[in-house]
Amino acid sequence: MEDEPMNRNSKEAGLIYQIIWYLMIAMLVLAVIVQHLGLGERTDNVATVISHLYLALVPLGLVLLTIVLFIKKSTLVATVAGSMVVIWLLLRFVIS
Amino acid sequence: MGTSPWLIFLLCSGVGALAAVLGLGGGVLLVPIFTLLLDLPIHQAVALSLCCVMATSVTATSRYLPDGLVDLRAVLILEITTIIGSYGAAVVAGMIPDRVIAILFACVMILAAAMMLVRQPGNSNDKHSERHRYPLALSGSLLAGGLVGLLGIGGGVIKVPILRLLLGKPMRQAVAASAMMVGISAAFALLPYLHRGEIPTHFLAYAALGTVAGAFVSSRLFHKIESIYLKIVFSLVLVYTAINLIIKTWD
Repeated sequence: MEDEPMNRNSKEAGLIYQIIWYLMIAMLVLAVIVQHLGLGERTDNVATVISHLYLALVPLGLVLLTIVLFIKKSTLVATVAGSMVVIWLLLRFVIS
Repeated sequence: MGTSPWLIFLLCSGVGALAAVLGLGGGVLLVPIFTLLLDLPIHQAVALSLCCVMATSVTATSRYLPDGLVDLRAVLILEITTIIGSYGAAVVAGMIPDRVIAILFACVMILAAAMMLVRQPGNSNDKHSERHRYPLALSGSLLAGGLVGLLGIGGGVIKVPILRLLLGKPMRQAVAASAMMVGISAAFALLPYLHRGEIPTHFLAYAALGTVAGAFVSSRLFHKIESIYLKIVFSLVLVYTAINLIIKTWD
């Protein structure tokens, strides 16, 4: 484990966040289309499901970041990112 | 509720565009708009603002990261206390009456108005020093996280100076790191609001998409404005809105 220079993982991390951005936009556009069409009760369900998925986007980004950072042997940063994901999952599903 | 989601989309687009042009986070504008114009309770307004702030954070980070402007190590280390602050404040927010949150928010708006006027426009004197005052930076990040969780704003007002003065980051890197941090903090801060059922799910997609669209278009069409007159007008609007927010919540 050693300190990594700042820009060592920028490309991979940038790619991950770009994937997350496209996912986010696709999800939001889909939600707007479904809500605009108006599917009765199902509209509520779609809105709720989308909101749950939306909240999981950044943690998903952190999961991917953790994997990439471990592969690139940036152990310290990967451990911190991974711990955050675990804490988020605990807060989301266990402590409520 | 009679509010049209498309009205929310338009309002958020306007806020996103204005925030991008003025170099602000949108939260300080979104919460009063949701409260004053759309009659949302302030807790729901804060939750919806957090959703928008998260969307702008992902958008900004997806552009800053490939350019090598984000110091991942600094961001993730500072986030340790920021997420404690944001989650803790979001839990506490559920126990605080609307009035108190509105007054706190109005104070932050007045502070933001003042800071906009005194902020130095240039950053040419930035020099990259290798100062690493992490204990102090971590304490400041706790406070910044608290603002995120309690008031639904980005907290860049605190984070950028921390990154510049305590960790010696140049201005652009400080802004980029702050943008990434707020998305992670918001993801944690939203959990208590989700558990309390205070996220207006019907408006989420319209609000988040509107904010991103406004910022996206505005950043491509206009340059960041440094006009002092516009900043004075905008500061006065912020103060006026802050007073209205207090009056409305008090009634």
